Amino acid sequence: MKYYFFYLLNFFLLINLAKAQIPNKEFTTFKYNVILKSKDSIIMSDECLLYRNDNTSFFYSLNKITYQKKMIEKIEFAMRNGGKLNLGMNDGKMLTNFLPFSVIKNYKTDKIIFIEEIDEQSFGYIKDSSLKKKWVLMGDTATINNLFCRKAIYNSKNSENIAWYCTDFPIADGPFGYCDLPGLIVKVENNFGWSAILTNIYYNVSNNNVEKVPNYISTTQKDLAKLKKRNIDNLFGDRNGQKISLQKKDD
Amino acid sequence: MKKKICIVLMVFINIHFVKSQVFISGKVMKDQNRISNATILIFNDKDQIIEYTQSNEVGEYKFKKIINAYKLTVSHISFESKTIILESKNYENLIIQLNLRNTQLPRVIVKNVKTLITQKNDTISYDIELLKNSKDRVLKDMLEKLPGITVSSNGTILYQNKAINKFYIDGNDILDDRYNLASNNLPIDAIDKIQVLENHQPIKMFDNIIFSDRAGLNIKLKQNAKNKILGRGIANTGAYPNLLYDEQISLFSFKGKLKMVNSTKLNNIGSLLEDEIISLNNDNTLQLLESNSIKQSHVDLIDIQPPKIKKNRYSFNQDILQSTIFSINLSTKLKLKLFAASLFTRNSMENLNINSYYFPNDTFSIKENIKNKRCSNNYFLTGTINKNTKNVYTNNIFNFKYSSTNDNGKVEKLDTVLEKLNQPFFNINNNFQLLKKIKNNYFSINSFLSYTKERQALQIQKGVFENLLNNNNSYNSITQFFINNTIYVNNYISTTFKIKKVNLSSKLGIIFHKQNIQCFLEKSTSNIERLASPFITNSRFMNFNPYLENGVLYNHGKINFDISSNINSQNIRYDTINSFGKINNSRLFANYSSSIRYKFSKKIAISANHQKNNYTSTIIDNKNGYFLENYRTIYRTGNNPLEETTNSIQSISLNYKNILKSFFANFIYSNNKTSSNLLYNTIVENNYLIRVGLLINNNRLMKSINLNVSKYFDILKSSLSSNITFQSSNITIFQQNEKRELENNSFIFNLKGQANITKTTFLNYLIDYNTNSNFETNQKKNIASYKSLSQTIKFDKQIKSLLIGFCLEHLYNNKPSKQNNYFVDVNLNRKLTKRNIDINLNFLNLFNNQNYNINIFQESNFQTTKLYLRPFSIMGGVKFSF
Repeated sequence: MKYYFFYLLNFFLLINLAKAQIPNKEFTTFKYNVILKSKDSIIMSDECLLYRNDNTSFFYSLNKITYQKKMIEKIEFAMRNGGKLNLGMNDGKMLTNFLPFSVIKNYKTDKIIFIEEIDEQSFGYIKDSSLKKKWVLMGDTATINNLFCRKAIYNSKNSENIAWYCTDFPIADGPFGYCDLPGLIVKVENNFGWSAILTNIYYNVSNNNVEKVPNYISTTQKDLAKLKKRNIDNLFGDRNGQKISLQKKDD
Repeated sequence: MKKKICIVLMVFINIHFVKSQVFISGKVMKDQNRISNATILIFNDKDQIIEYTQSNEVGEYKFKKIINAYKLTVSHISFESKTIILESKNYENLIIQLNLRNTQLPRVIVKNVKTLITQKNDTISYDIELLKNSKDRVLKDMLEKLPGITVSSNGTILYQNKAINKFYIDGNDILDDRYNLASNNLPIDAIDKIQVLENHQPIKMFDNIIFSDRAGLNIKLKQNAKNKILGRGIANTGAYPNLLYDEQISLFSFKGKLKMVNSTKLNNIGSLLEDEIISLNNDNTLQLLESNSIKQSHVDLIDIQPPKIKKNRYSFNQDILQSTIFSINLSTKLKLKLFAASLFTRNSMENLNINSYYFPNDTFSIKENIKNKRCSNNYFLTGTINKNTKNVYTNNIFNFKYSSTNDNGKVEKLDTVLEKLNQPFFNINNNFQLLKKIKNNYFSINSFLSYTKERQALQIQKGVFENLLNNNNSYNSITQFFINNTIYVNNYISTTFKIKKVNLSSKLGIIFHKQNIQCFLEKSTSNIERLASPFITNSRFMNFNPYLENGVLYNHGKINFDISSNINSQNIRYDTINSFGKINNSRLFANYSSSIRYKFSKKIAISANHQKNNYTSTIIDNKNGYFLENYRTIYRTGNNPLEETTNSIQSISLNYKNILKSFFANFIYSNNKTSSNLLYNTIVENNYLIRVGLLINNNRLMKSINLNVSKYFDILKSSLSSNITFQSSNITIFQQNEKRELENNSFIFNLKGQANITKTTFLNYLIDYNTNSNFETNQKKNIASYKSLSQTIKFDKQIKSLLIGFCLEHLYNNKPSKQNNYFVDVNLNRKLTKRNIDINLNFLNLFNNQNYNINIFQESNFQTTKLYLRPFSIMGGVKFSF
């Protein structure tokens, strides 16, 4: 019985994996410095990339990719030399200094998908069913990192968002899930402490130099929250000595 | 009628409204190809975006009901933008043709978002990465660049012109105040940040209770530096005039419960190692001086004051230093620290000295060629037990010091005088403090004990002061002995009560001070003979001094105010030269001090201090009878009472800091008035100086103004600091039985700048300008004045792994005649990055300058000295850090 269940689950996963988006054209990549603040202290500071082609954009943590590559190198080195995995204090520190999600904007289907990772498995859920936002364009202007920017505000039920966009870059995109302004979002901040500022632009980036959108399992934000909670409970259960054991059950 | 007007007006408005509403639709194309994802913007006449959209997959766009449209702009990342001025009409099927982009999109230029200084509460953090360059090796290299911080010539670190009160490494007070061991040796690569803890109260219990106007310094280490042994080593050797060497190895460990700083150094290149282990911040200095715990020379070779040029230019030394500091956490709160050091120094100096004494009617000059060879062995041991929590503070410091010196001097003038000086010195002292908090009140017990035994002997060949000491007959030699045993005890209890924002403190204590001094002269003719009275004195001194101190301290937000009074009864018993009977001298003194500080804002603070102290000197300062200080000066004090001194100090200081602009400024005005009842009359007899103590009012007044400014320039990546000091003093002196009033004015200007011109080019500039003029106050007669200028330019260029450095030093003096000296040093440094090893080659004093004139004016004595300098030399070797 359990074998059938296992096969069914695999089949279900395969269908969902097929939905993954893969950008395939050369385009421009934008680098942002992303910060999460609580009161006056910085909780997280990360370098992120926004990759955009005709129909899709992908926003992800650059530091995380660097860290993962470094870890793979360490593991391979340890395996080759038969030694212990040498992890420094910085490895642990870096682990908490990543943007904990990546964002796909699909302009064709008009959807924003957030991707989070639990136990090395990626899960994606639709955060906004439309890319259209009710931005209010303001008259304020500012020069940010050498770019002439205009101000726009978007307020929803709980969030207050301020964006500065540059019409010299006619790309209606930006960091996180922000988009739909008449120019690239150069700087954005919200009332939850998140902020991002454009720090570099790389033109004509080859597909090979861009991180592929990960294969993810489609889910809902609610289900993912449940999964995360269960994962944390298991972790603490383990710490308290309540070991999770997989028992073989006979049908 | 009104209705008609209203209707007409509404119709007019509606017509106008309809006229300003337009409908626009169309396609965006490149020739026959439709362009998707083009951005179409509608602007009003104020250049504000009022509507926008994107062309769809077939290049179509559409706007409905746009009001006040002025222009339409179409842009696309691959095409040139196009603008169309709109008329007040509808545009249907407006086809916009775009051309391929020829112009570049604007570049993102990120300004350096990092700032050098950030402040959080009372902690100022310097991000040293912004100032660091490839030639920086140790902590001191960085400290000297930081705005707001200055490092004095002996290594004392000052923040806003005040010495720091604590030096921490990662929050641990390991070195106490011997922080030169870290400043000079801690590798720069191990340091993450340098933090200044403003208004730092080192006793945790008194945090926010007793205000401190001094800062602490914390060196924050990088994470990887905390978990390994850090080290720095030098193995350099060189040649000319003799074999040169400079070797050192310093080890640091800040891991776990046992922290360690270990340093072994030896050199003969003029780098004096006694500076490495000196106490830089001893709050107890006055007590240590009073108890003779610090060695003071009562007899000495003829020598000059240290000149203000680099020590390695004129010092011919051989120094060996071994020092170790351990800090062990006995429990979570209790720490044990041990410091042990041995220092062997040999130093030889040669100079031609002209001493001119400007007397009322004539000038008396002594010209002498001085060759001194000094040799000393020093041993230090310090043990500290410390507990510093919110409720209890315990600190016990035990110090042991033994030193012996064996100095030889040769003075060549008309005839040759040989000098020999021996000064064995032994001191142990213990300082115990216990503070306890009970509810909101603080109680403390303190005890300081010190015992000193010293013997100083100066032998002079041939015999001097023949008329006085040998009936005008020449003789072989004379030796002045000075033997001193001192016991000093200071015990007190104190309480501090907190009543809302006011703290009331009371201190009750007793000082017991006992000195036995023997001073005598032994002359050698055919045999050795000890001279009788008045050339021999066996003095005993005892002071029993109870005292009561009361203070009020008020702390409220921006204002800090404290006032304290001290009443002490000095009950002194001592002997005099002629009367060996006891003389009792009981005096009651009242001293007081007050200070107020107001913080206008985070940037500006002003403070004012006033204090008045009365004290009596001990017999060490009032040696009875004759006392031979050096081969040409003899003191003669009669049955004078002990010198009583009143000292009054007033000062005002203004501090300004702007963290965002990395700008610090500090202004101090101080007025110091000292008066005592003893003045020395200087008499010249047969080319010798005799100083006779007279009971005359001795008044001294000193005023000084000091301005310090320092700034870091973000754009230029450079820092600049400047110091201006003006000092004026009025003194009374007695010479050749005549009283004189003298005025001395001095002006010092100091400028220091450093710039990282590019990532590989560095420039350092230092200028020191000094003027000194001296007048006879009543007659406004200029006695002596001089100017000096010192400029140093260091230029370093990194070419791949090779660092080439040029150092040009210009020294100017206008006395005895105008003199310019130029020094050039060149150093080549190749860094092997993988192993953190520097291979270096130094060419020192390329112009081979062999002498330099320095001027010093003191009282009416103008001293011009021709210093003999190190000639051209070459040094090379390796430096490494790990």
